[in-house]
Amino acid sequence: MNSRNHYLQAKVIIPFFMQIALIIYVVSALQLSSPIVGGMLSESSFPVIVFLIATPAAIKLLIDGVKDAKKEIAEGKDVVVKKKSIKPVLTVVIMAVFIALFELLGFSILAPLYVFFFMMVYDDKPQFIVKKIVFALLIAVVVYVMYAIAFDIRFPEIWR
Amino acid sequence: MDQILQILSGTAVVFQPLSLLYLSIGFFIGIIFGALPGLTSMLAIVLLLPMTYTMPMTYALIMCMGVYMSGIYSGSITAITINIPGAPSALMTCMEGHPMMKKGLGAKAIGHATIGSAIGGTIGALLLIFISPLAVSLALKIRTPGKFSLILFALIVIVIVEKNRTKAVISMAFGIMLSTIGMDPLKSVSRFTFGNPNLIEGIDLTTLIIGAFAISELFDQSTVNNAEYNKMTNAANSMKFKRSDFFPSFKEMREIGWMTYIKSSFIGYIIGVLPGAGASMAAFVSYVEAKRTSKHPEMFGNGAVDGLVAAETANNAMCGGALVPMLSLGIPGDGTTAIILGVLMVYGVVPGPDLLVKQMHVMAPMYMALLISAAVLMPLSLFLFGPYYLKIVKINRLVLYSSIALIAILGVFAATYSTFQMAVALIIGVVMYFFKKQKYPNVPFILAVILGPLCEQYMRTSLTLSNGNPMVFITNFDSLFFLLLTVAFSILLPRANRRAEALSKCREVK
Repeated sequence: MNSRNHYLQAKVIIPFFMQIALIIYVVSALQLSSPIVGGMLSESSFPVIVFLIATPAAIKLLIDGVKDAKKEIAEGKDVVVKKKSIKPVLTVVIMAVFIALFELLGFSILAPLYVFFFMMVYDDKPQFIVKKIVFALLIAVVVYVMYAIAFDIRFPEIWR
Repeated sequence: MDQILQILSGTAVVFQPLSLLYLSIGFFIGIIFGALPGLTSMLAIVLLLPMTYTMPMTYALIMCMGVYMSGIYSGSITAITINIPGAPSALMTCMEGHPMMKKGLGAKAIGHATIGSAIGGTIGALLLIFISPLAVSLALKIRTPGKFSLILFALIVIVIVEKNRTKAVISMAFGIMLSTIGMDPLKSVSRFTFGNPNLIEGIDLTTLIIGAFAISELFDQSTVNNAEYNKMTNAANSMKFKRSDFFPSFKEMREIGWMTYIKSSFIGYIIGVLPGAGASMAAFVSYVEAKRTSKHPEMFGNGAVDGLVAAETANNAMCGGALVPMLSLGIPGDGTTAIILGVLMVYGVVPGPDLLVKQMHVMAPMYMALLISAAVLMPLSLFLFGPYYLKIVKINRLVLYSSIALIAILGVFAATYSTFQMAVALIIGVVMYFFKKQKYPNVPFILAVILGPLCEQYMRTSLTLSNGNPMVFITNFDSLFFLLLTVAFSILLPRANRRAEALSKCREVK
């Protein structure tokens, strides 16, 4: 079993990326100004404080994660690779496509398609397609009435 | 006294037809979201947030109160019937309610939960009405350094009350990092925009809230097996109860003891006041206390009705408590009140001690709405809709979640008219999904988003006014008080947590 997999678990990756984000955060704050300018706190002071508080926490979680991984390797434990569902990824893709095309194609075309594909992903298998199409259209109409008519919010449309 | 009268005058507004309509809508949305596993009253308010933009603030707040109170209560329905808490605060209800269900006393358990929730909610709301004016008069004495120390106190307590404090710090830091994107609060300098003009105005609060709470939840729920969910909920659907089954007898209530109701209400209310503690902790502490003082502690875990009542009374009493720091100090008591504070901020209201003084006419109906929501729990649930609540789980899951998905993503557009903000909400949703999977708490995140910018503003303003002298936080009495309170809580809360855990383990061993 490749020991690299042990270190690629979320308990190691999240604090690692959080630490990277904190470093980028503090560096870009310090590029603006020194934390104290003329004896007064500047716009970079608060981000520096956040960095100083969160860094030990991120490092602790990272060390804990690495220790756990090392322990698993020493004990010869395999990383339990659960059969991961692809559904969250598909959900992200549907949302990303909806957002990318929203201004171009507008509500009327995209909303029913979005709801339909959402139902397809949420269901265990592709079934009751006609029922899903009907529900998708109904939901799009209800949501449109709620937002556009009741709350006077204008969505983009392909014709405008 | 004037303020109490002003609050009571809010009754007239709540009883206007449109207010009652919004309160009823909120109430039933709360019941549905609270009763369905995976959905919470907090999510309901998150989804309502963008719709409140075009609504008068009073109606928006009235609706939120309906959602808040009924959502906490209805978590008990599936906790009792199918052993799955509809809301996280109903976890202790599962432990006693479901064994009662197995003994054929399910309807009675729901009846007890309803009465407990109504009593707890009403006492909590009454305490809110009579105590918050007092809190406001004290809060008005807090000056800028004191406001900073108060927010510091809240942020530290929020971390301390979490099980994994290190993860809570990371969650909070992530919230603060996102909230500092955009214009600096005191200077005309933009921060962390990385040359992207879309970020100059920062990330909208609605974007952050919908991304973190609604979109991340949609990813999480997508992995639920639909067939298994239907099988599980069919069990609840097949149950048939008569209205009379829901009514516990006076003898049963006397056996539970009025002290249990009153004590649990006060426990829930006090825990509600504590920033970040929330309904789950209120239910847990009250349950442990009921077990400690019970004549039949051996019954706990096997359908002890006093345990169920203690948990349900406390989690609804918490609602009133959580609103005290939010309204008087601008510090939310839990995640849901943080979102309600977000609703206020949408209307340009700055949270803080001045809120009730300047906006009492708008806020007063909200108090009464909370009280009415609690008071009507009993007649509506026991006399009218109780048997129908069991059918809520019958709602088609695919239709429900795909509607939520559309409402959530369009909600960001409705609030910002920006597809860029929609994309940001999606990214935040993905990050918070991974956080959730690794048990990073989300309450510190949302409280940091709201309190982080205020914390920075008050800290820098205090130091500017004192020519950079940090002693300003010690020499001001109000600031010193909150700093000492922070130290005291930092020492006492972890001890209390350890003691409660040890007590509960000890009882389990026995």
